[in-house]
Amino acid sequence: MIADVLALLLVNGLLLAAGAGLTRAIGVWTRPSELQTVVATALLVGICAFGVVAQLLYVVGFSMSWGQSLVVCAMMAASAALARAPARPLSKRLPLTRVEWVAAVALAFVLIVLAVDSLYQPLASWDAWSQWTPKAHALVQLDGLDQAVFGNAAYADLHPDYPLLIPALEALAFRFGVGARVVHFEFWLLLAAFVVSLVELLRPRAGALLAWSAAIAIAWTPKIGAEALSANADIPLAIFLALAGVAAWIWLSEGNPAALGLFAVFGSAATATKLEGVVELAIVLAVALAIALRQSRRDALLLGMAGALTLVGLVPWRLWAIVVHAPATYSAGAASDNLVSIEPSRVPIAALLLVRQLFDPQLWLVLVPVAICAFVVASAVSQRHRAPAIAGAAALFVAIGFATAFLLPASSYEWRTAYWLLFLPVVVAGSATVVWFAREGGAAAFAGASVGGMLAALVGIYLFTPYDFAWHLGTSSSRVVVPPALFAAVFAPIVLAGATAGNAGRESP
Amino acid sequence: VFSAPRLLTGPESLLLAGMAAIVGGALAARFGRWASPHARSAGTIAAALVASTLVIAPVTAWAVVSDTRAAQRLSDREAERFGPESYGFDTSVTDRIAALVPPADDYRLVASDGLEANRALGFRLWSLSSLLPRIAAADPSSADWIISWGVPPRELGVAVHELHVLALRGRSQPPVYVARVDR
Repeated sequence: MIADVLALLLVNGLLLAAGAGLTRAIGVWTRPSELQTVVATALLVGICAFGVVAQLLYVVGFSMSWGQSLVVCAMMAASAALARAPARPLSKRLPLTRVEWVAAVALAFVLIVLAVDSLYQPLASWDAWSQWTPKAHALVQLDGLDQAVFGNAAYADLHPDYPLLIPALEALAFRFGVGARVVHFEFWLLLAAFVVSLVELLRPRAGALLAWSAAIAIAWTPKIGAEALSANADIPLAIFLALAGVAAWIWLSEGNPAALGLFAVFGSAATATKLEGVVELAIVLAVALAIALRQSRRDALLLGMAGALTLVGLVPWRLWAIVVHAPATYSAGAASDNLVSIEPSRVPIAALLLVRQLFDPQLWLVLVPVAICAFVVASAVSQRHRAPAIAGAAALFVAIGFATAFLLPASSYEWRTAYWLLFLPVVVAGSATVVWFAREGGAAAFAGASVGGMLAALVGIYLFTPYDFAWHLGTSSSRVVVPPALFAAVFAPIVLAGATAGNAGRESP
Repeated sequence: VFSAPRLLTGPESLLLAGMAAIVGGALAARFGRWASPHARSAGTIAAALVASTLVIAPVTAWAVVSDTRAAQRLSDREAERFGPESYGFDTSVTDRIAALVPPADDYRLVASDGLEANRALGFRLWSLSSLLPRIAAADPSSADWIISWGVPPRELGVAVHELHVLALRGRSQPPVYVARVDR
């Protein structure tokens, strides 16, 4: 096991070098001392960029052997030499206060406990053992993207048309001799890098208290740890989407071009991780573009170009899948069949089950309600005359959310008349809350509309699912709520800090 | 005597985390030194978030430690096969199939309709992965081998030789048939 861990650390050392070069190239840092302030972000950039480029290179016939992977990482690291324009670093080197050291210990404690657990995890999660890891094994054993598997109808159960970022990352680990069990440690590294990256990016913007609070709360949330160690693609997708959102917001609020680069990298990783990542990133981008258009056409144009870059790994992959007739989960034929036999009753039951998952205190504690509280405070500060209405709608939404969590059985897929008493109020209160957040116009508008859009998109996916509705909902609803929940939690400190700064002269608590 | 706390139920989690959030937020609002009412609001929510998290932290940590203790008892082999084994499929049978089917040959995979659906799917998925570099034939009629769980090859209307009947762990499960298709 020690050899496996060391090999995986070596792999991540390479990815860190790649990420350091890329972040220098896009202007996230300029001097080596500044790299220390964004080292976790750099690792995530390296992981994302490698996954996206690997998907592209697999399509054009590379095997991504360890030698080729080494060259790719070296080229990314060398891209630092391309940095030309004077850059504004995205983070600052601020000394930690005594309270922050305590917060760092609280964060480190849970990460260490999870790290040990990740080393012993069995390959238990259905998607992990039936899809992601087998595809990584196929990439290694067949020395690349072989049509015999990825274009073969006999392998339809492995979903060969799903994006390749996760299998490519696992395949890289396997190439360096890491076993399938220790590969869970890579997912832990993603989580650890993410929470540290949050501190790196949010601390200079939202203040130390809010940044550390969010990082600690996220790392200690039972659902986040459990999902991260399951080796599923949902936590990586949630991480990439949240960071793409943060990068988009930094561009909108500060106009820092380095943030555009980060948006392109994290956004392309989201589209290369899961199919719904494309839909969810499109929603985040559309909301960001709508806000950017109010500011200036230039901001919107540049953001749109960064958005177009997020398709760099996805489009060639989809074209390849079409050309080789890879078995498609969401084929055009299946979609038209579903349109004909559409069952509107799926909408309320899917919506209620998603809400039920979001408010399950066993999984999320009170992370989601407290994040909503942060949004309410921010909106109420800027819309004083509507404060009671906003607070009332949000309180009703949270109350029904908890009621749904306790009243609705987890495996209830059949519609019952009594559910209208939960569904109608949750839709009215939820919609009103999102609309009021959107009117606030700042980060609350961006995050509120993005999260609302993601949840609506998930309901839409269940409405048109080609799978058995009950099976699809039962096996995935607890996982697919992770991206919107994490997005809301990550934006809570930004929203609060924005409201505080906007109304009290740029102070941070 | 130390005894492990059991995991909290949903209502218990909500009660503890909710109470901690309220108490933490109230204390921060009352005793925190904030530069303005807006900063106090933000600080109160941050304190609520941290308090709600940390009050359940021992239970969360215990849950992770319990999971680690259970998981570390598994060998690497058991850990890698935990998924299909948990659905009731004896994965050792694919090792025996791999010893029979040469790596360059392809095969047709069949599972009886009488098998429990998830178990049959587990068999398919695990076999497709673990038998690599042997490839499942896109055109079943051209496959070199037939691998079927619970269905004798003759019932599939395929002429075969070198028939192997592989028993699975637990007598209640039907055998897996492996046979070379006649050419």
